[in-house]
Amino acid sequence: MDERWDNDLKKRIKEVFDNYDDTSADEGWRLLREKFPKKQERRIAVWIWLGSAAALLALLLGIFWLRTANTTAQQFAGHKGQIKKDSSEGSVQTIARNNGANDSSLIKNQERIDPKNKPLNTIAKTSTTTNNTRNKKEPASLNPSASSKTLVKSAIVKQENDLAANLAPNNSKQNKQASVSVNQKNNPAATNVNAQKPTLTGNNSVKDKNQVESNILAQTNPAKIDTGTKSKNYAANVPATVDMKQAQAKKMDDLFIKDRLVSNQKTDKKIPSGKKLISLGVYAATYFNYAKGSNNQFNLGAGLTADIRVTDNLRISSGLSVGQNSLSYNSQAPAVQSASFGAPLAAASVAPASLYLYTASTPQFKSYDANLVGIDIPLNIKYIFDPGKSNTYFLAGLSSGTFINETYTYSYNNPSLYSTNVSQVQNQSTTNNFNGIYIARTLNLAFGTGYLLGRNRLVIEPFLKYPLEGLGTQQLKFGAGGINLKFDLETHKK
Amino acid sequence: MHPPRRIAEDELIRQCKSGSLKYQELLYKQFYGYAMGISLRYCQNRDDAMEVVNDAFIKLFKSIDSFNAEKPFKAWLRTIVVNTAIDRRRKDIKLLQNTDLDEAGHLTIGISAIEDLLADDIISMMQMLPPIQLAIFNLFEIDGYNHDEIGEMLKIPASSSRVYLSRAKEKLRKVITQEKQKHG
Repeated sequence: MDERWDNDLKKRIKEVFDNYDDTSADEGWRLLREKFPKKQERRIAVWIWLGSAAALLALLLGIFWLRTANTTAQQFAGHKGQIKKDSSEGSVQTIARNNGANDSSLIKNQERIDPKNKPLNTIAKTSTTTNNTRNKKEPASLNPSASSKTLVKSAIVKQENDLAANLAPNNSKQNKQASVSVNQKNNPAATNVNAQKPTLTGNNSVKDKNQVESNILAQTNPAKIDTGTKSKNYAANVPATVDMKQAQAKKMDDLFIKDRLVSNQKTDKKIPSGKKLISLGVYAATYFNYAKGSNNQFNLGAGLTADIRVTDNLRISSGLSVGQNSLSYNSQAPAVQSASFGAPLAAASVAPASLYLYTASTPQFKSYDANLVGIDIPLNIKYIFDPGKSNTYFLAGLSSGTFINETYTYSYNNPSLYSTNVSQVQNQSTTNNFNGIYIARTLNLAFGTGYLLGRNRLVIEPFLKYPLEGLGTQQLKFGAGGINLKFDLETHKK
Repeated sequence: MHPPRRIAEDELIRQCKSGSLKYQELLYKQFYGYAMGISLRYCQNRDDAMEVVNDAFIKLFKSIDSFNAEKPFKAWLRTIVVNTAIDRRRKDIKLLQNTDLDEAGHLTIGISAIEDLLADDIISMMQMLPPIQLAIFNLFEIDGYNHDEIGEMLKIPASSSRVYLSRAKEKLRKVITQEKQKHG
């Protein structure tokens, strides 16, 4: 009973669903088309394409950097030697350069607190030496007259403006607290000078700067503090102190100016000049070869470019590249090649009578493959749309070159006389190396846009090579279309 | 709206082998109903069934070069759809294989005899089964697989397949009997 019931149910289900009809086929097809057939495959192909180009470019760049690494190391070694030489002079400038302005202030504060330490003595000696030298050259500054004091003070205020602009406020405050007590105790003359300064400048900010000055006075004249030479005339000490301070401030100013110059130079280097006569680049190309009757073949190439500046907008672009070109004709032989293909046909038709037992007299074309590894030397004109702002350009020109290797493979069927279903496939290959040079036989068109990568630039350049005449020994008329991933190198010296 | 022109199966397949998108569409639309009929029996709803059909056709188009034209196309399509449906539901089947159907009280298919069952009735009735029982019932009773093959497909022992089939049939009987009684 159950078995019969099961069979009935099974039969009914099969009956219903074997003839099942559904009206949602159009909707189903629309959904299927979102996944199939070619969008996904094309995306994958594009990624493979770009990936292989990027890998090739990375390889070329790696080789380039490896070759330049030794040169850079040598240059670095040279600079290091120079730095060592500078530091051996033991000048205050070297200390300040290594530690920066704030650091030097801190060092000086430490020196003041502990005047017996060695760096203080070194700096004090240097300052004194500088002061003495200066005094020899400028005896007027030794004159303790009021007029000369006023002149010197004016100079001090001016220098202090620069100093105050560069020194950190925190340091100034610290200096203020520490230095006032020292100066008032050990060097009242300096305090007197400070007291007069607001009247000279009439500026409230000078008050703070005076604290800096006091600080410097204390630092630049530690010999007096150390040795306790209070018996000297305070009035006579003032110009000497001012001179030392002036020298010190001037040195610090020089350091700041040098620092600014160095930082400006660094900033300048980051901005591409755009005025270079020649700029170089390396690139990797991924492209499809195309020709009438041939399947499109995916290939790779790589090369160097050199752009010669003509005007702001125009460049002459040349270079050298190596690339593979392959063509595959399955349905018919290329037009020019048909004549060559006639040779085996003719040979077969005049074959000895004995061969007719096994092969037909008319071989049939099966396929024809060409593989050419070529050197391409383009000569293009590049028009940059907006040289100051964008990195977008259009390029057109002609290519010349030669082929390192050319391989042509013919494949054809020789049908058997005994049966139409049996045939003998024969292959024939010919190879040539460096067989002639072609001049201006390919038209180049490209459009590029670049993105700055540090000091260099990455350019994505879709291109088309259109054949004007046949190429290679078989005079095949083929072109190429694809994308160049180009890396424009910064060529100006560091 | 004109019904799609029916083209000889051989011609459709030949053109699909050459990669013609137009013929792929024709083939799809010509066999869509048949594929949906299989898919609906395995899936929980129409959307799932349509996705299974589409995935199956994508597999079919990609591997159509390997299709032997001397064999029936429908059988090949059926195999692909069944495998796709099982692959898609394999996780559910494994997770829910211990779930059982105790009651089918809420089922309203409104039938008085097996020969009156319509597609929607059968689908509603079958969807009351736990996924593993549904799959085994379809595989064994409708699509002609044996228990060894089912065991291999679902990664279960052949004996378990027999047990699940027995339970599935028993429940279907119960459901239909209840419905018959309801509708006199």
